[in-house]
Amino acid sequence: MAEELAEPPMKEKEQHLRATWEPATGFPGVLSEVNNQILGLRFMATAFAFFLVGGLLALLMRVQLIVSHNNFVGPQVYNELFTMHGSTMMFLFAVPFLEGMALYLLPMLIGARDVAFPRLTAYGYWVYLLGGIIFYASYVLGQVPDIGWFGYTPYSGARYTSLSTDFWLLGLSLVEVAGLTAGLEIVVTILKFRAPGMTLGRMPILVWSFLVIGIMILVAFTVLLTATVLLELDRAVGTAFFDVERGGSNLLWQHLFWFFGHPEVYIMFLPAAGIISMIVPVAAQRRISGYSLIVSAIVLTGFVSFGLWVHHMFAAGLPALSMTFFTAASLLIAIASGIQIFAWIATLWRSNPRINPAMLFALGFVFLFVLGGLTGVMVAVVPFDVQVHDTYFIVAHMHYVLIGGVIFPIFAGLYHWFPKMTGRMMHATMGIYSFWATFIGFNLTFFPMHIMGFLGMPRRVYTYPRELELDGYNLLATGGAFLMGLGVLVFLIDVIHSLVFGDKAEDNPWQGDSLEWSVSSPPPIFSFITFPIVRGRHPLWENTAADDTELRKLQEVLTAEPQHWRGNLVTDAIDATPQAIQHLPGPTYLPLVAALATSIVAIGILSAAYLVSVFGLVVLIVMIMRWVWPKRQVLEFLRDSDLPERSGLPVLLSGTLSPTWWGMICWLTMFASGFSALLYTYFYLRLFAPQWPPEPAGKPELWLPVLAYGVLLIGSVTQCRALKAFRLHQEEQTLWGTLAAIVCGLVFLVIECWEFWRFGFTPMTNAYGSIFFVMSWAVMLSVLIGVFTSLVAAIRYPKIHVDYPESMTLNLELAALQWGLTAGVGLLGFITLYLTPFLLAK
Amino acid sequence: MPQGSAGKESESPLTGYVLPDLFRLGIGIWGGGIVWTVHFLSIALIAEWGCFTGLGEWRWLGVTGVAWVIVMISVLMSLVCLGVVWLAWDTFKNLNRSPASCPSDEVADVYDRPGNHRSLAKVGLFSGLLFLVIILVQSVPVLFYLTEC
Repeated sequence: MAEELAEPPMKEKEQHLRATWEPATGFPGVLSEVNNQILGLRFMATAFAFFLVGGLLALLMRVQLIVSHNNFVGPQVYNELFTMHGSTMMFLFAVPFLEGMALYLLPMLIGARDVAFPRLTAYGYWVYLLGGIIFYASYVLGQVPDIGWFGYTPYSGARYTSLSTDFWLLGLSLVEVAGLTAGLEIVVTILKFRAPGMTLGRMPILVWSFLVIGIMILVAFTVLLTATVLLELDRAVGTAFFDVERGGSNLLWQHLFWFFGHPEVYIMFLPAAGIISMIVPVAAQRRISGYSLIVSAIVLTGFVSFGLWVHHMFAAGLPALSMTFFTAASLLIAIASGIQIFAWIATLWRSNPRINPAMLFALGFVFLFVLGGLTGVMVAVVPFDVQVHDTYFIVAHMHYVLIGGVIFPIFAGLYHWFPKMTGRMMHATMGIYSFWATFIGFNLTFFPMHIMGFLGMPRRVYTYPRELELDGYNLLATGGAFLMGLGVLVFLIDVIHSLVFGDKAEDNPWQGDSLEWSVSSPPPIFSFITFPIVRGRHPLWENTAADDTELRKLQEVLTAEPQHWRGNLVTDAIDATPQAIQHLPGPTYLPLVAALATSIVAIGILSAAYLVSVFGLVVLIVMIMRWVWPKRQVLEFLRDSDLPERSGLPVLLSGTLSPTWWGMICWLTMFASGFSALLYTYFYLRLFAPQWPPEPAGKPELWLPVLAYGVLLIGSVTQCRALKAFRLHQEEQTLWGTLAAIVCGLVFLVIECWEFWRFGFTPMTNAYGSIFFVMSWAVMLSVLIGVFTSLVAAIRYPKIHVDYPESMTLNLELAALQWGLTAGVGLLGFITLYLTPFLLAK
Repeated sequence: MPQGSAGKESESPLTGYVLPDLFRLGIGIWGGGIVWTVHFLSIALIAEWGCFTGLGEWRWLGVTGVAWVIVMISVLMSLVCLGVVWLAWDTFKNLNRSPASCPSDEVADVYDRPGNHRSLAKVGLFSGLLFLVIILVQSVPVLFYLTEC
């Protein structure tokens, strides 16, 4: 420590800090800002706008169904309405809204100033917005998707639909990319940016929910992204994954889609339940009951949600034995939800809770979600599901779970945190009106649908026969829908009214327990002037544990620090002990340009102008290079900073100290997940093929692949050894090892291309050719990224390895991790593509 | 400044509290889920694959090969999950028994490692038990499909 070093007075330090974090102003500021609060609010506002559009589409559907044989819209428009409504609500509203909420709230909940990768937040937002615009641009061109939010093949294949499905696939692919960036951001921020003392065992329940869904997003969204890429390849290039005539399978799409689709329900539900776990204890002014059990239930849900996907396919004709396992899993996941509900009841038991609009929406959620959960248990049973599968019973169940289980908690959360976000109180009476209109309207709309389903009203059909005598129920449902719309309208009026005329909010208007209530309302852009010290699960209620003198000293040193660059304290993933200070980037146009380039790639594919796509890809690669290439200027001022000396914490990070290292682990998880989807595809196609490999492919030759994959393994080993050599200060071995990895990667790519050229089949020949090439391309992509990371290390090595060894170490670590992944997928790819035709001959 | 916890058992510089092996804690929390994943994927894939191949036709004591394999996997995975539960219980028990595990406010550090680790061990114990229940219940359906797919 060097506390005796001359320091500016505190007021001056604070001014510097404010100036450093001051958002860029005007239009350039809108385009370049990377701060989590601004982007989180922007995410939520954009998602809410999509929610209003999706709701409007639902009202149009209800008008069509108000009486039988109605001609308000025809069958085609109705198909478009339910497709756009479902896709908007699932992809453009619910998940992005909760991601926005996470990005906004997380740093405040855990005592941080920002999220771990601010530029990635901005990139995610722009990609999401552009994806949504592309999706809705289909209306401008009169090519509106009409394939349902699930896009089942063969209807979504090139034979039956035109450009409309491409709008759906490409628009939503961009939204999936945005989801993945948010997932990565959430996981790393929670693991590395928690305030000292906020151990895993003290994290608020909402943070646990965000952590689990962050990991779920990394796995589930990658599978969906892989599936959409395969479908787009079928449509644009002519591969045969879902073409039965050429050995493909339609059920394969359903498997891949629902492997994402069911976890997605829990990706929405878990944070929604987490919001309730934050509101209920505050309303009851007592600690939450069963903290450990709730956390166990969240972990359990995270796992088991991946084992339910087949219950969406009970009517698809799968083996009965196989379906029973999914029935069991679907029944048992109710235990996890039940634990949370009982915990909330126990928390409220004999308390005197404050009943405000937030609490009303929370109570409404419990009631509706229990009903939705009960019908969920019913449809988990195969014979029952087969009876009601394509009826309005499912529509009722789904909306009880999704509106009751997700939208009610979102409204509860908005009422709860609005004072914090805006510094204004909402109007309580209007909130109560909004709740009752929404709650009554919801039940009037969806409860009769259970009965309609039993009476045989089919879903996704634009009308129904008068003989079914369903007009009364439908009239009720339509009336309810408009009442619900009125509830949302009252909420909107309340928001606008409160923003302008609302009473000024105190810092902690509800006497909350978590850290966000310790900062002003609205919070400063950097949230905390210094890091808080957490001593319990309810930091603002508990202040009993012993103090830590050393930590107090560190807190003093880091008050309003770093002054001249954006930074945040990095802590240990489990015990949250201080480890380092992370530099965070300021406003930049890079994310926006990268997002535009990503969209140009999509637009090029959409319009079959592939040169445009190539242009977009080149720009994207250049942007990524600029992004990942550490600026020497930044390294210099970090090196020259006196903060490490005063705080005893490093500012140039590598290994597990560095959030970038954790980000890389998330990337590897994503890639492995996507590759697993391809492995699944390979074996699924093989299972039902009469001959494997089918003609004209035949069994593969082995000598060339053995050579290629052998070289790939050597490349992986040399890169890992290069890292080891650098740690042992063996300069020559480091550089040569890295260069050898690059050469091995390039040799592998050349051999692979040569091998492809010799094949007697192409990706378009049949499903075998399609999966063979796409799996090989996935390995090649991993190699290319490995070569890229090694190249960055090799170029930077002579310039920085002496002055900035930590930066070099991190660079080599990232390269070694990527090469490790490459070795893994290479080995699996080789065994699957080249050995299984011999080992498991068919 | 105190640095991150050690991977193996070591003494905290602040309280004299003996840190548990983080591997044991990790296995406690994630082990049940991993075992369930392996169990679930195995039985689902075998049911799907076996029923389309000769394994569904092959019989011993009148029971199909598919059912035999699923029963064996279920028994094995239940035992492994039981092991995970025992490990979590053992860690939890040891943390409760440790003299430094319930320190008075005077000796506790801000991070309250004993409390944190005990809490994580408890989460592991609950999770392990829940996953064990799920594995056992999910194994029941095969008993209704012993002779056919």
